[in-house]
Amino acid sequence: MPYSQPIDRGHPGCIVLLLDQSGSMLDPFAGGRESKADALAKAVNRLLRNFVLQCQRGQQVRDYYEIAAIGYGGGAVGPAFGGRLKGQYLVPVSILASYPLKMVTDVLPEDPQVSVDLPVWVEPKAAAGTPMTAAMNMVGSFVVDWANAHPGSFPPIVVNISDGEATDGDPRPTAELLRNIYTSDGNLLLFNINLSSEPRTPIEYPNAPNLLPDLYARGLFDMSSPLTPYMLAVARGMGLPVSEGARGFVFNADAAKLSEFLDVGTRVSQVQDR
Amino acid sequence: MTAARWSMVAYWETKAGTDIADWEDGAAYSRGTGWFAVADGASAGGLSREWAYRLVRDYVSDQNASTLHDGGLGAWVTDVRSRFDPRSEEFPASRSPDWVQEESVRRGAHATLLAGRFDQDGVRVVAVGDTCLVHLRSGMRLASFPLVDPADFGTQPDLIASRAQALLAGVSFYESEIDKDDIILVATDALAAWLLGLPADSAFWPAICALDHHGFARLCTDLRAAHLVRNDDMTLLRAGPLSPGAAA
Repeated sequence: MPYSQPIDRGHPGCIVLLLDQSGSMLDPFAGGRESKADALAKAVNRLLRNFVLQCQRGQQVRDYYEIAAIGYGGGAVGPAFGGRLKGQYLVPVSILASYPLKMVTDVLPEDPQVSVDLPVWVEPKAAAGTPMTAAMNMVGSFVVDWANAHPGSFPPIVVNISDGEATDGDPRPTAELLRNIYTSDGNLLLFNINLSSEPRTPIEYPNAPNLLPDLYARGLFDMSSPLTPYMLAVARGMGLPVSEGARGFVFNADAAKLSEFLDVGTRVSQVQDR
Repeated sequence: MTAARWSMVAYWETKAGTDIADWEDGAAYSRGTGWFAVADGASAGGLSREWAYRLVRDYVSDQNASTLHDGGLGAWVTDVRSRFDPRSEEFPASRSPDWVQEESVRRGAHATLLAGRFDQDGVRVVAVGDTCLVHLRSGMRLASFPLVDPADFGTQPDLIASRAQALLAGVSFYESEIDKDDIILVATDALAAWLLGLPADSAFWPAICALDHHGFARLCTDLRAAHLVRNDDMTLLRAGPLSPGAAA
């Protein structure tokens, strides 16, 4: 059965986060003050922290995943990690754990009563256009090598987080090439989330394009892979409105939907929880 | 040193693709006193291996009979929590970054536990979670505990937390007389789910009772290859009265 390969050191997972760093990311979410760029950086850092903690076994962090964050905006596309990881594409989790850009004291996302030092790997950035197509091209260039080097692993997951249309051409053909990268466990999974500054009702995990409002939304739907059975189960467990065939796609998302999306879309397989 | 009165042995196999350093179950027993314990540490948390080890080791060495009666386990766990220091010298020094270590300690660890003792009256057992016991008599399954059906296994069993202030949930007890040829098997969930799916009169029971370490390793490999168990640590403790003149 596809998408069932558990993660272990012999079969690590690959997660790529594609981060829109265009100028419009400076706008806040509807009804809030925090910019989309700030919220995105926060959500990504929280996700990365969770990955590190999930990979701790005994007295060390195991390299169960390799993770990349690719930013696109400001007329450029490239790795988004800062500090000693600057310029790095796929980074093993143990290295990620060791080299955050900095630590900041903040309340814990899961327990606002507790204040701790939280690691930061990605800082907010926002300028100029949205070279999404070039970003997907870049991802393909290194993820195909990863898939060839890990033919038995769960396939790579690419999560594209954006607030607007690509400014460098139609990304759909490139997205299709990406989704054609595969391991023996299945094709690469490409998920898309569209962030919105307007107070619009989000459209979550649709399984058909007919309810989507425009061609742009339908284009993102077309680019998005269906959720795996395990992700569907996770989403249902979180009370999210998913049905069979649901795509990894949310339109008009706010900050809370972004966090949910990252949680659902990066669940690789039945986690060995004990 | 107390002379052996009980036959007890434990076998374990780590998850496929991992090594002994990744084993997050724990098993301890005393053939002289009849106390035994098996725990399954939750992977979600970095210190589950240490916590599982602490629970089973202390259970067998403490020989606290009150744990086998209502309310006793909670008091004992509180005591064990106070002794649990994952940074103590008995555990390997951490190679994780400081922020990871601090968060692991803050979050604590979780494990199932099935533990108990044999005495002249039989066997009494306490359990939290889905580590299971199978009681065999005359080569057939007489009972299983705390679960009875493979469908009873879920993804969120009751667990004992190393730090939680919450009360223990899901504590249950099993008590039975023991005949001279009875065998008690205690298995962590992946293996237990398979055992509970076997017919009560399965021809496998005598074979399982005759397993040695290599046989257990082969069994685990075969079960995984046939997809009859999920890829998880598998631990089996086998115990029963010691036949006169037999080795423990």
